[in-house]
Amino acid sequence: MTRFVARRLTQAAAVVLAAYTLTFAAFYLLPADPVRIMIGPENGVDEARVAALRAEYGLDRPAIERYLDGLLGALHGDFGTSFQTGRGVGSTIAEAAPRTLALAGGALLLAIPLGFLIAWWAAHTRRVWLRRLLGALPGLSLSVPTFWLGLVLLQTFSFGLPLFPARAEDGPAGLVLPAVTLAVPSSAFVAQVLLERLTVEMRQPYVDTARAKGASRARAVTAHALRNAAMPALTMTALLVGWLVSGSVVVETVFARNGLGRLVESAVTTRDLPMLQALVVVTTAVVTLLTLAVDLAHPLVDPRLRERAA
Amino acid sequence: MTFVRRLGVVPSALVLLAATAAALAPALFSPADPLRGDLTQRLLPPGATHPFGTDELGRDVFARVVHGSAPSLQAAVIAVGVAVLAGSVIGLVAGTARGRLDGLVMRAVEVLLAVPSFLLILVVVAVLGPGTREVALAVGVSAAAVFSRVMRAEVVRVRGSGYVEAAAVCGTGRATVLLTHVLPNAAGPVAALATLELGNAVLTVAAVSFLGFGAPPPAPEWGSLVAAGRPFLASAWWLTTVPGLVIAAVALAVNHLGHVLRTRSETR
Repeated sequence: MTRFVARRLTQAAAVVLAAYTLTFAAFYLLPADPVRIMIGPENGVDEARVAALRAEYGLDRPAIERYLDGLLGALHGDFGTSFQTGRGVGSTIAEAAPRTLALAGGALLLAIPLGFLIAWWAAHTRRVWLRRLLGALPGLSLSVPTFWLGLVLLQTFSFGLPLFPARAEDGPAGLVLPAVTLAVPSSAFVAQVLLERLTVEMRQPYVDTARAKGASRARAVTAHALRNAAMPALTMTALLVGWLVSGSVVVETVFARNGLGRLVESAVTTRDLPMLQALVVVTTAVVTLLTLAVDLAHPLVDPRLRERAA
Repeated sequence: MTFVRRLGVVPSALVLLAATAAALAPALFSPADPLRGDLTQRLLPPGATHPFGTDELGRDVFARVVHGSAPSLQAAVIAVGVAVLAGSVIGLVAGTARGRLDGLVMRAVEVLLAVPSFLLILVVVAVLGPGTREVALAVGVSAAAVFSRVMRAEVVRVRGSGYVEAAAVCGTGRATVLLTHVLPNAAGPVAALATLELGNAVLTVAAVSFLGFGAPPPAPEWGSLVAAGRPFLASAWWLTTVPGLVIAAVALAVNHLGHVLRTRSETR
């Protein structure tokens, strides 16, 4: 088991290192000069100023040196200086992270119960039309553009009925609409994976046995099938977190919340490469570690895996 | 079940047909100029002369949606094309090469899959710069990893079958075996994934364009149309609602038809 954990940890570290290398290489291939982007499209730029800026950000040094230095800094939590604001990238990210965590956490709190409820109900009901309706729901909500859903909610519940503030400041009231927007597609992911597994599990002989022994249909779903079907949904959670970061780019733009997603958006707009690189590496690290944690947690949920590991 | 499904097929096909026709011949649907507005006709709600209303410059929203069909759909189709092509080549190479090259390529693919796909798209956009073609390429690159995995799995599966060994024994060249035996057999799952990806691509392209990384302002794109209506959320609901509904309808139609095609090919 320890060897397995050690190997998986090395793999995870390699993936994060590769993500760092990949973004570095991508930006090294950038057709435009970062210093020119920083200055903006002015005419008659002073060459001495360009050279001075280049030296200030260390862009005049050889690529390999910049790569190794940047990597060493990143390992110590120093991701360099933002091209745009001139502030430390690490502290800017640390400042924005809690707002995105609150948003993603709120979305997950809504999405997981909702996704489970939809899948459970669809597996439980005997009404064919209801099952079909519930089964079609995830595909339907995944076809709705997230940014548009956010705008429609804003239109309806902020401007139409003044229930929630239009400007999503910090605080629970401002969190409701963005979290709901993000939760709709997330719950669809959960419901889709879970329902697919539940449908398979409900046809297994052990479910018939449980029913024959007098368990109600609700109990057969909840206590018997759900336990076996929950594993793939659990694996999904790590992927879902990566998706939530992606989704927060759009949702935070719609609701004008200053979080990680907003940082990503502005880093792409201004081509703030150190910022974008740090954001990609940090997100990849979080998703990779979560995937690892979920994989390691599998034997806790499934006793069959525990026996195999022992 | 089949009846219900057929019930959905007809409207889906109609939506897709209309969107494609609008992309190919926009003038057929709307004679109005999508770029020129009449300032006396500003912010009119949907009505008889302007079915989708007009925007803050008096431009006809219906004309803009119709003319936005071409860049939006093109980008999605190009994205899927890039993903299928690049992914298939990577998967074919990895699957036939085996050994060290296979391991190396698949590790690289794993890294691409570990980065959240929307972030990967935005990184590519940051490198290439904004624009419809750039966005299409970015979406395609980020989706290629999944295709390469499916392709490799299929190649490995087909490679072990009797007829491929028989062909090799008969002295057929490696390239011929690849093209005549392996590729046609692997095409099914890749095509199934491609239909799924097309719906995704429509939505992703729209999202990237909504963020402002698509074609520059006066040009109509579905995502940027929704973004342009944001300042008028309270006063002119149609500017955001209508283009958004169009995106949702097209995505739904593509996803539904893809689903029907997939289940049909599976049951056969």
